[in-house]
Amino acid sequence: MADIQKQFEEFHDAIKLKRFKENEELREKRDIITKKIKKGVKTKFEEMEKDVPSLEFIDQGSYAVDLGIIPEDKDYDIDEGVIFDLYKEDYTDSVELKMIIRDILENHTNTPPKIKNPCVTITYSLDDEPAYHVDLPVYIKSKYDNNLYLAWGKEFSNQDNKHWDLADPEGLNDHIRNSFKDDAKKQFKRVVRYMKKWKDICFNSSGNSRPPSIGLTIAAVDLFSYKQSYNYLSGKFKDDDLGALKDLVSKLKNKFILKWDPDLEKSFYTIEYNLPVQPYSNVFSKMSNNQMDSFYQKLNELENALTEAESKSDPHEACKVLSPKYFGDKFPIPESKEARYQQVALSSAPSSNSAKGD
Amino acid sequence: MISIEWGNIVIEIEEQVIKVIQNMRQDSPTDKESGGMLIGSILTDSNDFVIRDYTFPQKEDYQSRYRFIRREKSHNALLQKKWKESNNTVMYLGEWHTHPEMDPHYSLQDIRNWRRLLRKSKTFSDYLVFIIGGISIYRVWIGSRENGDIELVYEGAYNESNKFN
Repeated sequence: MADIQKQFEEFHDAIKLKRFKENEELREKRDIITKKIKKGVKTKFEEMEKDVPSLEFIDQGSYAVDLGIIPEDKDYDIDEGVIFDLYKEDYTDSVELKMIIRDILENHTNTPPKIKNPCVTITYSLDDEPAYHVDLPVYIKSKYDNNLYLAWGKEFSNQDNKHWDLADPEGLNDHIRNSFKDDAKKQFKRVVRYMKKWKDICFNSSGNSRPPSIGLTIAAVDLFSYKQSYNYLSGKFKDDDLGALKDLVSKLKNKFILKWDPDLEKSFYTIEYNLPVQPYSNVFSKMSNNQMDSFYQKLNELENALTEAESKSDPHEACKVLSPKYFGDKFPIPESKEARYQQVALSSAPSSNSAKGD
Repeated sequence: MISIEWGNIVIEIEEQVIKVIQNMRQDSPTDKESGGMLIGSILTDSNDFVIRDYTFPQKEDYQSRYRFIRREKSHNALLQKKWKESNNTVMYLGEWHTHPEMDPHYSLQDIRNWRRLLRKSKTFSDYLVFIIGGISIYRVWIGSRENGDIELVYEGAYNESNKFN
């Protein structure tokens, strides 16, 4: 069995996205936007002769939980929640506050901000290529409970498609952050990043054909278990990322159920996974039966590849199974064992006669 | 894998080689001596070498409590097969055998035998490695084919925790 832990860890270093703490550029982008929103909200509300509400911001998404990977298309994605200390009972139109945010940031970037259903998106470009986008989900409070409510809807949506949706962004962050400790937590983060990279490499990026990252993350929190391998010569345990990843893939596969689709007269592997916090919705709900079935087939292929890699005795052969097909070319392939050795002529030895002696 | 620094070269012994010796050690009173060739390669970018394969007792060999005789023909045939399968990269690099004692020492017969192997074997390497597997530990010697000197270079304990493998 080949030991390719070193290659997995090198791969992880190559795809890992640094956190805000370590990534000054992104942190600055975030801080500029939050400052601008604070100032803009003050001005807007003063113009409307209303009390200026206090604002809070919350880091969300993969940055907040330190599970980000460097994007394939270099389009970095920051999620920053904006919480208005206002009551939804006073704001029947859920898009009103989003329009205020949009207006504040109107001239901040060359590409105008866009109001999407769950958030306002700010796009930064570099040489006409999108370089960053910042998604700003907008939340509000209620007079009657301590929950947060997400502003859902677009500017010209009809009333039915605009609403305040119960949400718990802080609870979700805590759920993910507090799921594992110490070395298990480190391996958990690596394994989630491997899954995300696999998703980037093996799925078409259009529409909802990719399983959402939050879905993979939530499933991993639930299904991951820490794996180590034992080296009997050194008497030491060391992390076994290949084993942990394979175990997760196989458990996730087992969460699929075969469902008959009467319209298409065909069976599909489908999966449901509910958010562990409000609103407890299915994280894979946007995927069609066809897309979920293809997700299952791809998990199956990945599981087979990991099993094959595990069975190879030469790390070169093991890594060649995984790279670049499943994880891209950032996954290193060490030199073949045979290539490390000199070629020699045929050797031989006479018989050998040993004895313990008297 | 164990790694032995010796002079300006490094000798690595892969895990499966130690494991076969461990499995054949004479830890019960009726176990007979076992032995075989040590087979390995020399790295392209240095003179370091790696013991990565072995032969074990064949039916023509002689095994008793205190004696092991490895015959020439069957083991050389195995060596040739392994050489071909390795794209001509492996060679004869020495000899291993077991002893029915906790802490193994070479006998007079052993040292004579090793010196003969240093002289008579035909292999690319300037050195041969000799391992005696005792019951609780194993020892590793290196012999020079140039001057016949033999030196103890390593002793290691088998790890008992095999249940994790």
